Amino acid sequence: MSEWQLSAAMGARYNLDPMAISDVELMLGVKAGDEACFEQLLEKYRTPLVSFLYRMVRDQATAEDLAQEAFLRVFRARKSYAPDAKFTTWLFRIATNLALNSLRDGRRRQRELSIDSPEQGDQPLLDVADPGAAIEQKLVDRDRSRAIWQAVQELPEKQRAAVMLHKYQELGYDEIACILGCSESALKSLLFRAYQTLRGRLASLAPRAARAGKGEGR
Amino acid sequence: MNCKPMEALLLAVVDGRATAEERDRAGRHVAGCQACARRLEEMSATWSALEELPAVEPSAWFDTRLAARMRESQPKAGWLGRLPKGMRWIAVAAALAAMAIWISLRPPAGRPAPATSPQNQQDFAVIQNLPELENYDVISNFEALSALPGAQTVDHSQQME
Repeated sequence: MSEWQLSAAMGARYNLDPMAISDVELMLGVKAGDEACFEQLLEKYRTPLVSFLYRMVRDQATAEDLAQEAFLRVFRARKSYAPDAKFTTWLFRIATNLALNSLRDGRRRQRELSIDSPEQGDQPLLDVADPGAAIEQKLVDRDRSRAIWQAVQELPEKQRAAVMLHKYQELGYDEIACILGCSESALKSLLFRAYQTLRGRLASLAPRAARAGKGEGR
Repeated sequence: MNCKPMEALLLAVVDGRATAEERDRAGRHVAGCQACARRLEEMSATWSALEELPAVEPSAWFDTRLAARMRESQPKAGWLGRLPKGMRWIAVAAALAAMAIWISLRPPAGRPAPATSPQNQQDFAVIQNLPELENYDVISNFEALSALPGAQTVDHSQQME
């Protein structure tokens, strides 16, 4: 049976999205003891997972710890894996629970940056031909970035997770609802409220014509 | 106008997941509803602003640390598990052979203990019979008997009988 036929057969059997079948195949390979399959899943999802967790907890070291824990849990549970849901749903459900527990229990390490500390993504200020204008622009950018971070951090945890999964991971409504344990309609209402809240907090920010819409995606 | 059902539709328009029919429906609604038109504009602005949150790449040691944690989480294998697969059968066969040799060299169960000498058996019988033992002591230490002419050394064994 060719790989395509196998994928089609599995998709029909488990009623899965064809895009997710390769993940299911890889996970079944992991279940059968093929460590190379796990490495492929790791390669594919480590950056999205670390980014997601970073946006949740706003600390790279904590985000990496949690991402490693999520992958470890997937690996430990490989023997009991059943392809009855998308792999991404499973993986991000584990990661979301880890992030929420980390935030709620206050077990997060005290390495989180304060709102006023420099962002990791900040660039040096004096690296362009017109230092005056560049510095001013950099300061404006920094203020915008801080305001956005703060607005996101102040969202209730479940709303924050929903926005992160919706906006950056681009997961389907059904997947996010499954991850957060709510109905799809409840999720849409949750997301709508979250974006309304964010808009209220970010209303003072002027629209950025030059960069608006230039998404970073995942 | 009830705008509550429009929330999900506006969300789908902003995130780009609305179908053409849904976009048309939303467009018709916001054309006649100033509040929803403003909501749509605000949500679009928020959506754009969120693009500015930075993404991060895993650090250089992410994989190394994960590999170490995975090794730590593996159950510890016994000495047999640490052997190469081919060697495991040899080790098991050697252990079975050693056990077979040990079993074959053991004395069979139920075999009587080695016999003792007849003299020992006799002494043991005397010790167990207390009246005889007392007579034996009296006769062997009775000095008057040794003073008699022609007295002979007492044959303990015969006397006892």
